[in-house]
Amino acid sequence: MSVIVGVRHKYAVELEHCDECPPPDGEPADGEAFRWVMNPMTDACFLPVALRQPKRVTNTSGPVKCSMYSLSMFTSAETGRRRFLAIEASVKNLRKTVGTHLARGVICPQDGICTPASNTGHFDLHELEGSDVRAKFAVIGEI
Amino acid sequence: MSRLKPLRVGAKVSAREFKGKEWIADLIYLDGPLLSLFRGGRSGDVLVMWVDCDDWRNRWVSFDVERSGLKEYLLKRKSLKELIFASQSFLFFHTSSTDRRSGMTEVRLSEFPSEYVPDDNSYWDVSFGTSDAENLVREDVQEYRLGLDGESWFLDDFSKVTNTYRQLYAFNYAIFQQARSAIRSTISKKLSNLAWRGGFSTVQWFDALSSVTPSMHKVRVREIAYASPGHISIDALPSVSSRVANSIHRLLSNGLMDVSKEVYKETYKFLDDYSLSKLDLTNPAQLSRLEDPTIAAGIEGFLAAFLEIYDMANEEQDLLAAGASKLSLLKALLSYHRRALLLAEYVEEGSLVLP
Repeated sequence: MSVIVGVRHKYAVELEHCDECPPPDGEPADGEAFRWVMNPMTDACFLPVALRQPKRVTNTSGPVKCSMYSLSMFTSAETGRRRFLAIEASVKNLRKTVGTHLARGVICPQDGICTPASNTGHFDLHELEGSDVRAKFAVIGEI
Repeated sequence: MSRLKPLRVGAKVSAREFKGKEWIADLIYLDGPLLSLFRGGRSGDVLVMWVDCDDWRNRWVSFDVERSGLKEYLLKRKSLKELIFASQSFLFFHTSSTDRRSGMTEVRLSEFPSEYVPDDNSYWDVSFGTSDAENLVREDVQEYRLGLDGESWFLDDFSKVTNTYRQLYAFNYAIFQQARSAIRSTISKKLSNLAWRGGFSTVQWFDALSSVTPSMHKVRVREIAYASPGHISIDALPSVSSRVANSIHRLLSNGLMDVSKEVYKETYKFLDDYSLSKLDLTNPAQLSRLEDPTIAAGIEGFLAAFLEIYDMANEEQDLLAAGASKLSLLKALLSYHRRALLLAEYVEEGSLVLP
């Protein structure tokens, strides 16, 4: 069970057998974040992949990973758009599973812990119990 | 979202067509796997690509991929579209809220739905790949020659030497690729969940390691020249083949072979004295015996000895962190030692050369 500053991971029960989640190099959320969503946004747009239906994560996808219970975010609209378009060349129906639009939000420490951003601007947000990240995001445009 | 359009091509086949495939790594991952590599029996590797979905089901397609094609894809010399067009037959299937695959349909290349075909520029990139995928291309196989003396080999020497080499390679590969999720999972499951009461567990252990080795890293025979001197030329990862050679050369240096045989005998005497040889490592009630200080110290001592013999002391913590218990790790090393001894004896008598 992950305990962060006295507050549990939002999906602590599901992560019971997963060590070190969120990863120890995570930092409290603080600032702007961008995420792929459907338009209009639904609750499902802010479910981690392991809980979204239909599940793309199966028991043959490898062991339960911490990242499966996090939300993918980007540091900027541009990095989010660029990565999406790069993958769409390989996966033609990507918009049907990941989203069609970009949403922007401002997240804070009460929302969760963020992994360090990769050099492509991607990071994972591990939500804390009680957070409602969806309420902080709004669609800003099509990908 | 509207329902998935029926495929309307191909022929329904049994879900068993996909049975037995072992997950190796996710190659494209975005909020879940989009392209994954599986290991599939004799035919080699299989790619599984997400293609479509509705509110209830995901649709996937799997297809064989040649060792060279996979390597070219990960090195960005071939596109995903080219890999698809290099394959002749595809299996489409669905998954829903359960992990069960349904609607297995075999489709020929000429029938492949155009809406699922990737673009011409569908090249892999590390930015949307995974660290597991990166680890696959970190090192490339190179030619490696096992020297042999063509005047002293019988037919069963070929099977003994090649099978033993394959197993030692698989063990060292696992240590080298421990960072990869599939390897860590295999180490954890097999070292923790095998009873390790006899040969059956040993075979399962090496088979499991082999099953999560993608074909691009497996030992493949290039040439066999039976002569004196002759050779078996293979493609192998240099870092792994050098670890195998190192194990053998260490045994043959400074009288270590005789020392290791003594340590091996003492280890088994210890295991027998404390009834640990037949201890069921999957039975929690029996595992509690390992908490006895004398037993724990003995296991730790013998484990340290074999780790030192094979220069694997640095890997101990990683292997234990992957879920191995000290006793199961010791038993795995004992099986490694038996195989290393076998090859060392061939080398010592001059029948085999490991550069």
